[in-house]
Amino acid sequence: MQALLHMLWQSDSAFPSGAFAFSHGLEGALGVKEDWSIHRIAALFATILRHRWSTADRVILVQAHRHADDRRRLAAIDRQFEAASLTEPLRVGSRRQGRAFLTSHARLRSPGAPALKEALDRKEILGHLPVLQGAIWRQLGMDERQASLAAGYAALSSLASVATRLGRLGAIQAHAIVRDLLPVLDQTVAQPVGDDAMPSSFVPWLEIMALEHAQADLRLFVN
Amino acid sequence: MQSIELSNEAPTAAPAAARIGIGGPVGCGKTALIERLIPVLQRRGINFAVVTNDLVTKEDALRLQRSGLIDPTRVSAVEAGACPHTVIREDPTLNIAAGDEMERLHPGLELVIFESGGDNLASTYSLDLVDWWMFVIDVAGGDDIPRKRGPGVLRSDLLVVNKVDLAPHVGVDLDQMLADARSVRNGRPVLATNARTGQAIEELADIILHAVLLER
Repeated sequence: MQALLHMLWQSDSAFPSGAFAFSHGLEGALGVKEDWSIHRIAALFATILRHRWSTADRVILVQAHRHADDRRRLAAIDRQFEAASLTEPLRVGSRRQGRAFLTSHARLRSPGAPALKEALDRKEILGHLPVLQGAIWRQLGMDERQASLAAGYAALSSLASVATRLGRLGAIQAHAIVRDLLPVLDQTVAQPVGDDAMPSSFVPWLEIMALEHAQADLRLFVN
Repeated sequence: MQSIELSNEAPTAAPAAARIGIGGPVGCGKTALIERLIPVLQRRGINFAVVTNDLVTKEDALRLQRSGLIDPTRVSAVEAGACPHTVIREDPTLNIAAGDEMERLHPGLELVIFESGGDNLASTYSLDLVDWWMFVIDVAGGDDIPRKRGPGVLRSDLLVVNKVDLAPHVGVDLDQMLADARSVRNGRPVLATNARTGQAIEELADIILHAVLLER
């Protein structure tokens, strides 16, 4: 029961982890045109879940969860995610969000978090978000599926929140999308992750939008 | 009501430098006050840095970095994700991390100033982020602001009323505005400033440095 409660706690958007400031390319994408329908936005969210979060972030999270006690292996997984993240705003964003996530857990003295924070400060790890989620949530007693669901839900609700704050969705519309994409999340989390699986993603248009967004003078979000 | 013992894993803060917040509505003069404070703090030998939280740009950070007043590496910007309240209150982790990074880059740092992105009168700072914070309003915003009793006006450690030189030009009775401010704050300090001329900036530095035990 405690692991389940930890999962609820960690997937709560109120947990301070800096997530609210990252749009993961969405601010740039939604700024391209005015007439985004709710269906198109839902399709965009599904694409991000299926073709980036599930195949890259989730793969890394699961591997970090499995090797939470092995600092050298965690560092290697972290470097692998860095190497696979070609788009700088998303790569740097993942590291900044990871540092913010770890800042909270280190202050809370969650098991293993202070040592990981010291390793990050010493630059022994890069601190990508899914690596730290996997490692810390394992120490909190969450199993692999719970950790994946918490991260996936946080990613989905974060996208909905971004679109709402950008005025592209009403708050209730946003949660209609979240509700309807929960089965997608369930399906993606059910897909097995091999220990030697490589992170991959294919959302080229979104990555181009993220690159353009990084050059914009006016922007609300980090990426 | 029975109190609840927190576990040994209670929240802890480890920063060495004192951390203060400067918040207030957009256009009240927060950046101008910081520009005036910088030479005063430098003259007093304070080792400090500034973290800004601009709403949609990095304009405030760039303004300070290009001012020639301060080493540009001592100024950084944190994006607020359309949530200027959240970044200093509900989720200050990005600011905490920025402050930690400043301390790592500048050993011996004594003070980090977090300038908020500018918002309404409900804005307050998390005590996870800062040890002390001030809220800035200005006379051009209207003399009824103190009477509206927003949390920023009521709960800040210091309320600054800026741009006092504009009072006669915007039909504000400054004495009455200051009296209202002192009345609603139950004895908490209120300071009238003019960042354009430097009025009361030395006094502002005195209050800040006394509050964070860096008097010199």
